[in-house]
Amino acid sequence: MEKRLSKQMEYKKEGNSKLLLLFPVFVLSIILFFFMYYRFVYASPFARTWDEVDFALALGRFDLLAMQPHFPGYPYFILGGMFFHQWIENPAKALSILNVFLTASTILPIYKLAREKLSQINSLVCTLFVHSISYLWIITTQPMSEAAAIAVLWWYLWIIKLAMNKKFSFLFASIAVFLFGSLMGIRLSFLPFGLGLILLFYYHWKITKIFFIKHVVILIVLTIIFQFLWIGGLILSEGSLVGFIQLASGFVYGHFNEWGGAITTTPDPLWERAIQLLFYNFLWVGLFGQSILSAIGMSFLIALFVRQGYLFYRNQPKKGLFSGIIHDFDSWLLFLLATYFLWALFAQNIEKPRHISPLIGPFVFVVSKTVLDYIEQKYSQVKLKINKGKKLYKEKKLIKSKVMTVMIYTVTLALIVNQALLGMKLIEEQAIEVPATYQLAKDLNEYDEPLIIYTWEETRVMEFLKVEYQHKRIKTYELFIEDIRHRNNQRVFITNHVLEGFEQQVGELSSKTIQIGEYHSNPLFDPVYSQIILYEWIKD
Amino acid sequence: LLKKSVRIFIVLLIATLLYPSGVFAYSYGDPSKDDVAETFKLILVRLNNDSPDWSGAQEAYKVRRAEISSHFGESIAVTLDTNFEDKNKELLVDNYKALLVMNIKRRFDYAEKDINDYSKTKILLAKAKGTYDTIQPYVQELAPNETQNLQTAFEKALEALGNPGLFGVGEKPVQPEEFKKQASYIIETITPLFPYTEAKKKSEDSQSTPTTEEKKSTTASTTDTDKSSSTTEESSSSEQESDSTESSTNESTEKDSEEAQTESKTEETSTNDSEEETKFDSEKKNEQPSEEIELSESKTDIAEIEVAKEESTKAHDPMERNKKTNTATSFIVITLVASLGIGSIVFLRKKGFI
Repeated sequence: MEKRLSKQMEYKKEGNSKLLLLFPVFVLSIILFFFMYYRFVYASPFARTWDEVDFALALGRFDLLAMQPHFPGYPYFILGGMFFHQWIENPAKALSILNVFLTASTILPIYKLAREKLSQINSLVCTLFVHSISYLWIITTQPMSEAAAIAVLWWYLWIIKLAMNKKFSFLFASIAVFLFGSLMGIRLSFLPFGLGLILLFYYHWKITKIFFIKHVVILIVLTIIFQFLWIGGLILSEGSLVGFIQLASGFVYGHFNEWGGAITTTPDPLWERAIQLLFYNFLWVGLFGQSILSAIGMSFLIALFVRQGYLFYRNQPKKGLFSGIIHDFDSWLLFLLATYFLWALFAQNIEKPRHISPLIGPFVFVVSKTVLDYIEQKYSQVKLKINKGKKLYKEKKLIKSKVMTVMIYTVTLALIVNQALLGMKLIEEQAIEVPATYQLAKDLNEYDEPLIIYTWEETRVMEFLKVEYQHKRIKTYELFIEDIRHRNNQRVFITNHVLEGFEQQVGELSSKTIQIGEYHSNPLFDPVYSQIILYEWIKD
Repeated sequence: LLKKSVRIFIVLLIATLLYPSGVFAYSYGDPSKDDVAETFKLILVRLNNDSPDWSGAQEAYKVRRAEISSHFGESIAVTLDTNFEDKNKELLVDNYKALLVMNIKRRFDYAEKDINDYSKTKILLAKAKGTYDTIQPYVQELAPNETQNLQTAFEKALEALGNPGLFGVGEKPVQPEEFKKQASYIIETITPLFPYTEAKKKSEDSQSTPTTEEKKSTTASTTDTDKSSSTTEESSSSEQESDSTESSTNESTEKDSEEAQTESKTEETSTNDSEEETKFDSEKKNEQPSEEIELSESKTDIAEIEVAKEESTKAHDPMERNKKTNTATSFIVITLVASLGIGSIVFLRKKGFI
């Protein structure tokens, strides 16, 4: 409260600074809108991976059994995509555009969340910072459900914060419950964020004594209803409940048993997974955008953030530590992020960095908010003391804190510029560069004679592109041999993934293959099938 | 209390970090896989070696025998039995292909009966397609011009099942006539390609005195299990030898022996099944299985899928991840960068900026 007052005093003192203040607000808003516009222009038109094809095909015909989309259905995401599909012919692009729109809407919740502590300008800087992260540019313009889910997550977090601000607000609590239902209907793997609801209920129970059992019951019932809304939609799409349960159990058992795609059944030690998840996926790819410059700037801000966090926790009364931080939304947020991190570590495929994408935005938000808040506080503290008349001594401090302010702003703005330029370059590349899977599919169309290509997951993209030739997924060498025995009238091709798989089963096979072509695209967009080598199989 | 809990947390964290994970690595299962077709693949894999593994192939078949006999008639099961005993690979494979065509027909028949039950027809059609995909290479060889038509016929059949849509969006009505048309086109096209040759002597027996034949078969299978259980050890050891000469990894031999053990177990259960099956048959003398069987089958389907899947994955997927992102480099780079950030903060603190 004191801080707010001091800030207002500050503004009043500077008199006609209102116009002066409006200018940066205007500029920052323009830049934010430009960001969104740029994403709109370069929304990816390609369905380059198996998962993306699943989503794209679902817009034409929603069929869980045919894996369009794959289990658990993502019904709201598909519904949104169907809406945009009315105007946008290409289903992949329709989904990307949906993501861009939803992401643009997050400007409001992020700004509002930042505004709880920061001034107008700093809130805008914070919002801009979150939206400048280059990896989020990529995620936002892909036809995957992550971006849509992250967007809803922001709204959900904001509503939780609003509910916390009131003593008890049944309205906000039920909106939070509704948003969580929407979140699950878009992407089930964001489940750990449901912990936010439990924390909220606990908070109300702890802080206010008017949290009646009646409310608890109603909220729990509401939670169940909102979850059943999307599950019910899935059941209806499947025809009957029994059919749906059969299908679901069929998928789920396969889900954890069968090897497939790019993951391993050979146990990796967990510490190795943890390092890859934290250092490579989260920090290097997610936060730093694989840029050393960003890494240096970010680590400076993160180090300051850690120091501030340490001071905050140290200043809490030792005994009432818990009751102190229960009011602190940032602590909640960090707790939720840590929970999701563990979930990603244990239950998600760490080969794909996009699985930690929901951590990036909120983490950047907390860091930038803390750092900007630090400047504001420092500045106003010094000013206040100067106003009280201890001029001579404080003059020095003022200069130092001014230097600090300039330094932090410089680093922040440099980071925003660096990351945003990188992000723009990347989404441009993503929208224009033809994916390796597409290149392969199109190249094979050039052949006149009948042929068959054996692949791993590339076959799905070929299916989406409706290619003329035959393509088939294969993993087992013996089955492959049996299969090609009856292909005398066809040329036989295989991809490097298939070949490597065979070589693990039966040893060296280079004498039986000739390399025909090589296809590359940026591994950031598809970590597994961004490099494809095409071989022709020499028949005996 | 807090310190204590933090300490416990750290200990737990370290413990879990040291524990090998990867159990949770996932992908999606495929309920459209058809057991009868999956067994065909298993048999092929075992017989296609330079030294065909007849006992292994027969064990794979034994797991599925009860289902085959109850759905397609005992005579077909007996024919396959004799093919196995004669070790006539060509005839066995040909007959099994014919069986797969019958399997497609069976799926279509039940789909036509329950044409309005969308979730059921869809799974049945998917299983039919899964079975067709197994014999697709042979269709390609025998009638190369038809494969494209067959593919579109399957797509049209799927369209004909209708679609409830997502929240009503994209709803489409059922077209029973269209489905019938496509299904019969598919069956009529592929049936002549895969002729079925019944084993002569025994099939006559089975037609004249079915009950005694059934008894014979059950006793035969029980004696078979005795034999095979004694031979599994031998076969696994011989496998090990042959495998080591083929310079394959140790893991695969271990897996093989494990599999042999599990299969000898499943075989015991399969004999129980065949007993049950005789009860079934005595209850319903007429060859055509009724809907009740189909219902009970659809319940057991999922369980069967699992079992088959576990088998097949053990057999087919000795994969390891082959590409790793370089964790060590990123670790070092980021540690350096982080110490730079921390260093600058410490420096600023000392100079009184913070």
